[in-house]
Amino acid sequence: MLKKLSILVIALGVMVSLAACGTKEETKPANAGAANQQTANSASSDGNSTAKDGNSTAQDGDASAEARTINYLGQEYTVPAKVEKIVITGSVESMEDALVLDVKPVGALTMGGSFEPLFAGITDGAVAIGEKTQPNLETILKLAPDVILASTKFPAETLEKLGKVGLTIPVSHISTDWEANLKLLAELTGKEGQSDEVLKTYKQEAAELKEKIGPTLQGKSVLMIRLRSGSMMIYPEDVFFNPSLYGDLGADVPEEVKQAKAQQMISLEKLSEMNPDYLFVQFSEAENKDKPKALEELQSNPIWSSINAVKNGNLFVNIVDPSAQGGTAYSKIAFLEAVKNSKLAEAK
Amino acid sequence: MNKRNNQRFAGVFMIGLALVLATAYISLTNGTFDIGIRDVVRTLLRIHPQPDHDLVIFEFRLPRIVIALLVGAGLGMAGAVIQSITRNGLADPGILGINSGAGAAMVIFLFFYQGHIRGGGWLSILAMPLFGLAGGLMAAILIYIFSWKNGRLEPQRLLLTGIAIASGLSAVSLYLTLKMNPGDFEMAAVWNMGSIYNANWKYIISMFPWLLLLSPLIVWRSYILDLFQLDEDSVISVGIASEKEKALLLLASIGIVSACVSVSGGIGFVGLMAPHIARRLVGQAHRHMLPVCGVVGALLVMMADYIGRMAFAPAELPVGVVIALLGVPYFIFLLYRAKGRGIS
Repeated sequence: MLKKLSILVIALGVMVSLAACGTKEETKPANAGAANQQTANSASSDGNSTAKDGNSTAQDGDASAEARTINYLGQEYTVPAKVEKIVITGSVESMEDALVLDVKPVGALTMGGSFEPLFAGITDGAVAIGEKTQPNLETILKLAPDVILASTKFPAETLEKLGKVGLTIPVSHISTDWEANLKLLAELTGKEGQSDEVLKTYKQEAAELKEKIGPTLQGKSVLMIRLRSGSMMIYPEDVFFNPSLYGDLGADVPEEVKQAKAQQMISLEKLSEMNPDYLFVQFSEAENKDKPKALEELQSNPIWSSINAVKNGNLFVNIVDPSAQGGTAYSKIAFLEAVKNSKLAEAK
Repeated sequence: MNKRNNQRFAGVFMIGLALVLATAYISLTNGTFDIGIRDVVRTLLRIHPQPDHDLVIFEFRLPRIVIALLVGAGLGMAGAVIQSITRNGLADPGILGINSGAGAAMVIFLFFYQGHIRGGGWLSILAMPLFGLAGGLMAAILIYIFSWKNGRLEPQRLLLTGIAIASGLSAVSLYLTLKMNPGDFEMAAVWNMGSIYNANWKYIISMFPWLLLLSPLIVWRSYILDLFQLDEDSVISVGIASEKEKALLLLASIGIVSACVSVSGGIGFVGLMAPHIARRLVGQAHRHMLPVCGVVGALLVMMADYIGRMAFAPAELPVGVVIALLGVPYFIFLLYRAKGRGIS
């Protein structure tokens, strides 16, 4: 008797709390539904509804501030005229953009419990708001951000919750959107001039470098791999540093890279069969926790030493900081700079 | 004797409930967002509600607490049933391959659909749990078919096929995670460790009916679980339709476990520890032990989640990891102490 009663009590308690929430949520779907209908771009319809929510709170907070609209990847966001508090969560891409434009976020993501040394310049005044994949929503709420730069990698429920905290813009993690990402941050912070400058310089330098080392790379096979969990990974043509390598520098795209649809593991045997003439390796211990010595092991392997690139000294290990994402403005600029200063550019 | 047992059960159960409430209270009032106890009470009672407080209490903290409670209770009870049916104190819902089935389904979902099912709302949020549920049930059905022999469900075969299927499915998950995009890979890794980070009311609504329907069923049939302590032939000779009852109870617990795993990922050890702790507290009788299992399981997961949330704030530890870190030494301690007294 007693236990039945107790079960009943638990059940009742849960139901009451459920009901309490149910009434609260009823107002939301109507809003979100209307927003969804307007968007042709279904990929980020979450973002639209959150934009609306965020807008209303922004107006509550500061009635005098004029709102303006920002267009990002076919999606309109209404942001306050002056965006001062930016929180970056989930999007390392945005962290790198912030580094390029010297934007200091109030809250930023951590990796492995602390800020990456690469971002030290922009994170000295920032509050840690949790790991890349699991932002701490309460900490973000406490910061009362004007804009939350999230990632399109987040699952729908995380974006929904972030949207309730404040205006959330899911930043694309696709490398080909790098210019749009940089421009978004520039527009938010009023640094359009700087971003245009950066983009212009980059394109100019890339063209110069292509001209200079294009002949060297002509007809050679060039490959970039990344060590993750002790395994070698290759990426599709438009992922990681590949757009820089094949697009900007004009190297020939190897068949294997053309065929890769996502991150793909490659065995040492396969690598030696491809036998690249120029090989770039990105290795960070944070990504190889089980095998921190993976790179050394690889380098002591005789098959590794028989690869053309290694034999002829055309191996480039961590030419840019291995925590760089590859597809962003920062990564691209750093890569270009590094290649320019490497012996690749000197070789005639 | 019987009366004393009843009293003991009532006492333990009430203390357990009180502890659950206390944990819920502590969990609700603590977090990185500063919110006073008075404000928490005010928000709950809807006196001058503030949007920020509403958000913290109703959207961030309460769903986690409720999910932790439900998942813990479900896994605890299901663990007790599975241990009784297999007559093996080391059995655990994880061993039955349900966790890996749900895990594999989840990974397959992430691998093929992430980025396609979008558009917000119910469908995209519930897609993951639904896949997990389907995967868990499929794995369970497979195991059931394989362990059926000569018109009987043999406990030994059940455990062995469970382990085999579990490793097979884990291999599939591992293979797919290695082929994934970095972002999806991280998601899958977090999920596999067992986390209720993404708790929300929709998850609760998706799993609650299973618990509401199936756990009373298990408690109602609990006297049969007592009889399963006898050997198989005796059970039949007592006049129990052994296979039918076994199937019913097993399916009920599989349903519960699948529902739990689908929202929380593979949280191990709860289903193993809760029944043992419960047995120490109120003895072998399932009608007493099952509810206590539920309470103990809920308490374990709630505490683990609170610790995981607070210990390294703002970063988080997945609840499954905390349970493994704290629960296992305690469990070994319990077994060590029991050794002296000669029980199991």
